Amino acid sequence: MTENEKVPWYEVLQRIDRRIIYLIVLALCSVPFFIPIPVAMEVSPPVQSLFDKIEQIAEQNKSGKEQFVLLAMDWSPSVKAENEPQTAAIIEHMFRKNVRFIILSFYLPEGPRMTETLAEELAKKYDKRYGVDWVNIGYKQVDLPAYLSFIRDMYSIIEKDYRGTPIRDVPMMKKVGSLRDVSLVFEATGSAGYGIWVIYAQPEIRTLEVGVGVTAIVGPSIRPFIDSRQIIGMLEGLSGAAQYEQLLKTRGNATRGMGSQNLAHLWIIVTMALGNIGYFLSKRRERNRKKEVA
Amino acid sequence: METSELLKRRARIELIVVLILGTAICVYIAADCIRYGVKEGFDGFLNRLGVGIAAICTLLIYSFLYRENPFYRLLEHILIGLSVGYSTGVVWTELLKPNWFDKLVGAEGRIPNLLWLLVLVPGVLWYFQLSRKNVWLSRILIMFFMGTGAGLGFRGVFQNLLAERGQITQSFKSILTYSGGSVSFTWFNFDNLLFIVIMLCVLSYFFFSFRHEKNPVLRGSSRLGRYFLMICFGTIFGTTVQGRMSLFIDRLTFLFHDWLGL
Repeated sequence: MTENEKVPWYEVLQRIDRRIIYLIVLALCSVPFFIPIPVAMEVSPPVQSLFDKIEQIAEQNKSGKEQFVLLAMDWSPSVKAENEPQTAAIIEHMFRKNVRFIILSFYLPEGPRMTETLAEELAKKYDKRYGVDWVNIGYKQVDLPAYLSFIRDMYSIIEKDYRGTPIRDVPMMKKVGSLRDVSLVFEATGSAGYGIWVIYAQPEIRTLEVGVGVTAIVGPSIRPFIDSRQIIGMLEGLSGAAQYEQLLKTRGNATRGMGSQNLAHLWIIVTMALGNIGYFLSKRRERNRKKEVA
Repeated sequence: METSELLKRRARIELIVVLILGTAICVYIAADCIRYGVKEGFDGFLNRLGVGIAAICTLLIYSFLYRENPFYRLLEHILIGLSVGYSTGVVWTELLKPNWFDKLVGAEGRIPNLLWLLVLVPGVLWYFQLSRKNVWLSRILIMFFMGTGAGLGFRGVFQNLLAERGQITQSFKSILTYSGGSVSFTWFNFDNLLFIVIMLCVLSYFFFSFRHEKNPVLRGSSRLGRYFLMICFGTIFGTTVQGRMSLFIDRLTFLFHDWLGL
């Protein structure tokens, strides 16, 4: 191509400055903060299944022996955007239904701390109290043998709660004899933290169900576990949290974020289409040129 | 205009923009801190200062999207330094202090137990990795950890795959439905059939014992397997983009709501 030759429009499509693309992403993601965009979502079966499990625990607690939920909060600020709204939705559901829960993490110290803040905020709304309606064990650095001990006797590795109170003195924990009193483990993570519950805890305690709240990236790797029913339900990324909020009939951060998410996705689809059109037309032009030369 | 002159002109414009934006942000943060300081006291002032610093950090990190620059580099180094410092602190406060040091010195009314000093011996063995002559000492520990890990790992794998609720046991479902003495084929069975077909095709792609080109069945199935894998990777890429967007939206929420109060 000579210098004076005009660049065809489809070649320009492949040379769009990336900063223009980023600027449009910023503009599109900002729009829903000023003009709310209603987003209709279909609740996926894994989300519904997790919701139903908590409803089921609440129903069983009314008549039979009380069952608890264990929140394994293996998330940190780097995945807060996705795991925090998921955790908030689950805690809100449990507070509403008077399902009591235990918070802990075997991987990250930040998870239980950030979950505690969420629980305290929501507790004001539902008039719940620490030690009575939920307990935070905090972060426990354990290896596999210690984890196996935890499955057999959870008090073997836990002496105190997050606030330093001896664990046996916390009112709620007097009702929790062992991990067998836990009906559901909800694992919120941006990695493969769910593995230990599925691989080691479930075969030991057959009544234990595992639900997960994972980042969108981890989501596809959970699918085989959902098909095999080793994991009962899943909140996948921000959309999973938004679907759960829809079931709770609340409008939290996840639902608000979905407007931005949708616009950004639309823009990505458009850029992909434009890039591909440019690529194929340029290729065709090149082919035609070669034919002409031949 | 020559290229070098153009670059100089661009650098001047960039400097002016950075100065204007930087001044505006600093003035806003100062005003915000004073406003909250008057309203809520020193705690309010500190809280808003923290939010302001977080906002500056967010903006400087995102400045990389425009171009690599010294501000971004500075923040990158601060982040790495903080992470390493924080992790070291966590190892001490959450692992070494409660599990070892407190027991050794007898903290919280316990009786000091000097036997805990003995665990330093195997601990120190790790550092023989650095000595060519005595590296064999560290291998004693590696052997111990590998043995324990393999034993527990194998147990886990078998439990995960073959136990009553194992993945293999649960994943292989019937491709025909038997009900009331009759056999039928439903959408549920179609799903199961699809699962088996895709699994075999993908496995055949990684089956290198025969030459794929010479065997028409293997050639076809491995090609199909490759397409299935591409669909799978496409899905993972799509969800990765979704995840990254969620992180960006979270930062925007912080900037618009928490910082600017919009």
